[in-house]
Amino acid sequence: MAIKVHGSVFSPAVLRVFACLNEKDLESEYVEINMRAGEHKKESFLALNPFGQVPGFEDGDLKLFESRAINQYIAQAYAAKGNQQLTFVQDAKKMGPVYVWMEVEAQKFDPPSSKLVFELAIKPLLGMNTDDAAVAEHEGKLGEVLDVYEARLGQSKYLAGDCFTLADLNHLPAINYLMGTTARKVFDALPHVSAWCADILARPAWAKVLALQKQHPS
Amino acid sequence: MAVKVYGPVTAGCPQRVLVCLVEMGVDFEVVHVDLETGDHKKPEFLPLQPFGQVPVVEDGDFRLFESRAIVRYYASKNAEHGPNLLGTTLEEKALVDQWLEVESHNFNDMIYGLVLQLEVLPRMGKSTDFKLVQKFVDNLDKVLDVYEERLSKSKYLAGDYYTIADMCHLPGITFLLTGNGFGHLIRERKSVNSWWNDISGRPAWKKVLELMK
Repeated sequence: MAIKVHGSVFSPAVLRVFACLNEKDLESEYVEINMRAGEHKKESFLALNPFGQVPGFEDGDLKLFESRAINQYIAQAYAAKGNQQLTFVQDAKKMGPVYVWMEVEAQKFDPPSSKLVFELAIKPLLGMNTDDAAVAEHEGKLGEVLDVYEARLGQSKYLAGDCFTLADLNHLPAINYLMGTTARKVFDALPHVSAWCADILARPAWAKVLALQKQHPS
Repeated sequence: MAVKVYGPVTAGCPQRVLVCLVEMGVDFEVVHVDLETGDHKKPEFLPLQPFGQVPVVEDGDFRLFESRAIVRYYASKNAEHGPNLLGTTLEEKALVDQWLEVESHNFNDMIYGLVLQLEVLPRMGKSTDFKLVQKFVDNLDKVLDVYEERLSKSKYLAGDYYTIADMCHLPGITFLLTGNGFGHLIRERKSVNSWWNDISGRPAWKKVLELMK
């Protein structure tokens, strides 16, 4: 198969790419990388991502890494397939807000949320102890960021405007993980944010990602 | 009408936007925001940028924040008035995005950490955590090894041409080279050092440095 995703179905970055592939109705092959055995730091994987991070992505001869770049590529390379409203690259003005909120996810939301995912979801899987002080600190920071989201989503159905775009999609893996932890209270306290979370988590393309995760238990 | 760029010219994120505007021939006006007196956190500023950060641009009625989003927008919007900084084919564009993500996360997270520890916290009367500083430097060392390998095979990060993926590094690398004792990270890597001399020698970047005087 032309499209291959190398990584672990527990990695939020890998799930981010599958969410996009599913929105675009694209078939792909999942190549499992045994991260516990350090396979992602070995020569064979470094050829795909020299930083030793998942996912690595292939589409025929093209090799890419960085999940957010991969998603932009997928949305553009397969513009005519599946969901055609994930990006608007032909229309710079319409794309402007999508770029803004994709950056917000990457620069503002991701730092506290990825640390919470690590403490509350990943560490338990690895048999490690959660650092409660770190959790409290990052929940506080996440709360401040989500206050801005609350105001935004009070005026706009989705982050970049009226329709679901990559700006919303890129949040799915972290939100999904955190909804299964005590950190969900940060989201639950904000009505517009909660409604938006429920909406995007209910998308069929995301359900398909979770089904893939179940097929590959840890 | 000139585009308004809110932010001090001395801060990294506004500089990222200014260099792009100069490359793309966009007329702009800098509206100074005093970070030391906390102008960016005041109620008057928050409607412009709800996270209380700089830069934010106003182009008539259209407003954008997040420096890399602004860079992408103008590189695209003004494509006829400046160099092609985004790539042409889908594959070229994908590589530009890939290396911009690398700058954004693998590289800039470390720079941000160093700036916080060595400049922001002392200004707030707080102490520097030198263990963290060492950790950021060690991580940056590993990241720059990957850059060295890449740049030994490719003139610019995404390929044969200068793109926004290279451009977005200008403020961060300038920080490493200016009196913090990290210059060797760049200077001692042959390909990284030539690439740096090339991208920092561009007239657009020199013009931004002039603005800082």
